[in-house]
Amino acid sequence: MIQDKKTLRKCDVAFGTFLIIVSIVFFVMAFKMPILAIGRASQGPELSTAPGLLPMTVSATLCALGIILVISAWREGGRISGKDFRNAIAKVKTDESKRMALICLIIMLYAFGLLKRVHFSLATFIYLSVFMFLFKATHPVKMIIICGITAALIWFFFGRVALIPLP
Amino acid sequence: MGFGILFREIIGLFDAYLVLIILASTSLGIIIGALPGLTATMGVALLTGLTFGLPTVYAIPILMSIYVGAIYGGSISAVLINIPGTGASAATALDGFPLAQRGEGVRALYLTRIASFIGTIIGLFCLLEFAPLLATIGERYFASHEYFLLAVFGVVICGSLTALDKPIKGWIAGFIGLMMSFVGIEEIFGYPRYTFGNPNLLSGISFIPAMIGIFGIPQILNTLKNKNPVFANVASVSKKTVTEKRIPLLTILRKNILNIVRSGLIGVGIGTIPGAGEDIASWLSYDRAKKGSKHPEEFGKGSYEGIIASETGNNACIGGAIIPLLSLGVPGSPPAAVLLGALYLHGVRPGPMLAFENPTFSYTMTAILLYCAVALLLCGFFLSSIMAKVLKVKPAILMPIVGALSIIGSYAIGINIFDIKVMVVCGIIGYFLTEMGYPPAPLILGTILGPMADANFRRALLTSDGSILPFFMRPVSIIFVILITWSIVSMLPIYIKLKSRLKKKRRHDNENN
Repeated sequence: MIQDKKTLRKCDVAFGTFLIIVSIVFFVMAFKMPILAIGRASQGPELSTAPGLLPMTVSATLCALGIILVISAWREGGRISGKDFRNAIAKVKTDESKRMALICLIIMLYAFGLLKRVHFSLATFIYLSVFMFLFKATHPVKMIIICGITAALIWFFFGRVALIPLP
Repeated sequence: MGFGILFREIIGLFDAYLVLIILASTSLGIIIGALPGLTATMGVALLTGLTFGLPTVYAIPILMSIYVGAIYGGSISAVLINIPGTGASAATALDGFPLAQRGEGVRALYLTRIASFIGTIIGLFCLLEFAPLLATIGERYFASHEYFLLAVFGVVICGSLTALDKPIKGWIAGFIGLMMSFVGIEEIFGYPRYTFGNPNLLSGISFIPAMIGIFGIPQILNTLKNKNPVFANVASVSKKTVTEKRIPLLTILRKNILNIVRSGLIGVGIGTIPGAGEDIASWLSYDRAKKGSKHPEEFGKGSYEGIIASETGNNACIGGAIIPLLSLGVPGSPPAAVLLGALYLHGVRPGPMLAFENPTFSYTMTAILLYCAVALLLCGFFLSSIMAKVLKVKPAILMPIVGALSIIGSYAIGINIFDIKVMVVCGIIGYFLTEMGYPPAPLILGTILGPMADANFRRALLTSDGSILPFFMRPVSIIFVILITWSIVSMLPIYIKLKSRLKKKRRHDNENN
C-alpha cells in the first residue's frame, strides 16, 4: 500500500472521481433495463422485480461513497495539481514500474501468445525460462533444470492427474 | 447423536489413498503458508483449479488440508524469520521471533503447532455443534428479506473489519464486488446485464479466475517489483534453535488452558462473522490474552501466551468460518469464500437446504477437518525443521511458477481462454486497489454474495407487493438492520471522536473522585 499519506489522499481523490463517473454510467445502464412482468401477469410489470433495481441501488451507493471519499480526501490534503500529473508520469518511468510492466507483459505473452500456439509443456518452459532469466533468478543451467522439471510437473498434474484438457 | 454420525464419517473416510492425499496436501499447505507472499486464500484458489477434474471426495479434503496447513504454516516463517507467512500469523511473529532469537525457536515451533492443532479441534467441535443449529435457525427464520440483509451485512462488516486505510474503502471494495456479480444473465428473468454485447460475459464474471487474479497477480507484482527481492534472511536464526530438545511443553500448556479456550472461542466467533477471517481472529485473541495475562509486559518480547493465543485463535477461526458457509451459504473468511466457490463447482450447494439435500455433509466436513488437524500435527513436526531451507527459495524462482499456476488454474475451471483474461484484468485491478488501500476480501465477498443479494432482494419485494417495510418489521431482519447500522456508525469519525471524548471525560471524573 502507498505509505505517503498525501499521495494516498491524492489517489483517493482521483479514484473517487473515477468511481463517481463509472457508477453514474452503470446507474444509467441499470435504469434503462426493462421492467418485466413475472407470474402474476394480471398485475402487469412491477418495478420491484426489475433486473436493474439492485444494480441501480448499488451504483447509487457507490456514487455516494465516491463523493464521500473525494470530500474526505480533499479535506485531508488530497488536492491534485498539474505537478502531480508530471510526478505520475515520472513514476511510470521508474525501474519499479518497468519491472511490473515487464511481469505483466511476460504473463500476457504466455497466456495469449504462447499457449494454444505451442505445446503446453514447451510454452510453459519458455515462459518460465524467460521470466527467470530476465529476473536473474539463478545460474542458467540450474534455471533450465528447474524450468524443465516445473513445466513437466505442471503438465503431468493438470493434464494427466486432474485430466484437464490443456490448451 | 452428532458424535455418532461424526464417528461413522471418520471411519467411512478412512482410506489409505485419502489419508496420503490429506498428508501431502497439508504439507503443501504448510509450505504455501510459510512462504511469505503465498497466502491461504491464494493456495486454496490455485488448488481449486488443479482439483477441478478430481472427484469431490478427494477435491474437498485437498482444499481443506491446504486451508488448515497454510493457516498454521504462516507461524513457521513468523517464528524463524520474523516475517509472517500469512496475515493470520502476524501476531505470532511479535513473540515467536524473540523466542527464536533467545534460543527457544524449537519450543516456539512446538507451541505454535500444538496451539494450531488445539485451535482446529475447538473449531471442529463448534462446527459440529453450531452448524446444524444455525442451519435450523436459517431454515425456520430466514426468508428472502433476511438473506438479502445477511448479504449486505456480510459486505459491510467485512469492509469495516478488513479496511487497510479507511472503513469507507472496505465498503467501496465490497460494493464493487457486488457490481461485478451483476454482470451476466440474471436469475429471475434471464435478462443479460452489463454484458456489453460480449457473449463470454453472459454467464457472468467467473468467480475463481477473478479470485486467483485478485490474490495472485498483486503478490507476484509486489514481490518482484524490487530489484533484489528476498523472502528473508533465514540465517538470523541460529542452528541451535532448530535442534534444541528439552521442552517443558505440558507445563506451559497447563498454565495456558484458559488462554487456549478463550482464544479458541474468539477464533470461532470471529470465524462466524462473514468475511472477517483468521487475521482478525489472531489479533483479537492476542489482544485478549495480553489484557488477561498476569505478565502483559512479556508480550512482544517472547511470551508463550502470545504465540499460543494467536495460533489457537487463527486455527479455531477455520471451523468458525465453515459454520455460516455450510448452514447459510455465507463464507466466514476469504479462504472459506474460495472453498464455497469450489463446493459450488463440485455440485454442493451450501445453505439451510444442505441438511435436507445432503444430511451428512456437515459431518463429513467435520471429519475432514479432524483428519487435517492430525495431518497438521504430523506434517508440521517433519516440516518445521526443514522449512528453514525452503524459505531460502528465491522469489524470482517461485513467482514465475505462481504465475503459470494462476493462468492454468484459471483456464482449468471452464476450459476457456476468456477466464485467463478475467484473471489478468482482475489481477491488475486488484493490484492497484490494494496499493490504494482497498482490501481484497470484501471485493471477493461482494462477488460471491451478489447473486444471493439480488435474487432475494427482488423476491422479498415481490412477496411484500413492493413494500420495503418487512425489511424493518421481521424479527431477524431487525437484528440485521441494527447490526448493519451499528457496523457503519461505529466506524464513522464522529462516533470515534465522541467515544474517545466520553472515555477521557470518564477517566477525568474518576481521577477527580
